[in-house]
Amino acid sequence: MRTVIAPLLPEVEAELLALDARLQQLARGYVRRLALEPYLGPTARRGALATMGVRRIYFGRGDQPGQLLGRLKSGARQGHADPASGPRWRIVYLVREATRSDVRLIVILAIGEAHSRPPDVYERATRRALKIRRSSP
Amino acid sequence: MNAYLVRGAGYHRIMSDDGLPHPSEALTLSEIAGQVDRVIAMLQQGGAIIVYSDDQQHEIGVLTRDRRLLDEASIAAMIDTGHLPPLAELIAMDDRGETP
Repeated sequence: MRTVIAPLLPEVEAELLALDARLQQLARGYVRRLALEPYLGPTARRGALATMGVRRIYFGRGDQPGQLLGRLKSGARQGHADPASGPRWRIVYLVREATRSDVRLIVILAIGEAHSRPPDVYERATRRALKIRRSSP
Repeated sequence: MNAYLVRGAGYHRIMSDDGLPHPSEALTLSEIAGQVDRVIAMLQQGGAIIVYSDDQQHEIGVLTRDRRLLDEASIAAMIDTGHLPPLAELIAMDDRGETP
């Protein structure tokens, strides 16, 4: 099955451009990596995003998205770790498969900081996941 | 050792391997709205709901969480609402290196 990354929604492109150069480079690196590993990020576990099977990649400044071997350096925060110590940024995305066309599509819903000033990256992703499948706002 | 009694329909649901979406049931739109939790539970178990209009004059379609159908409907909706180019165009864009 062929994996295609959908062109970024204008809102997501704007979020990407709002990041500094290093974070932009990392985010673009992870988006490209999704073409090889579409299920790289774990699924969301709570709320509407969980029911939609939305996934997210955690990333931080020290990451190397091009390093394909081994686990993601950022990973999830360990249970004993301070909640503020984990990677701050997220790429929230959907994977959908058109079996008959043999195409797997990845749609990036939002990029940005998690648990920040509302609407944070998860809230924006939730709104967009619904919006992009409706003809009226 | 524990023994459990499983009655007819329950036994059928657990043991059936007929490839059909169990449990299934026909409901009207209002019944669905009034029983959302039960409907979600049925769908999550792999079941389906046959949807009727409230006046029962129209068989509207089927509610399902069948992964293949859900994914394909989702992609089609993104294309039909203008948020994504058609699949053939997306593939061509990908071939030209125009996707992220």
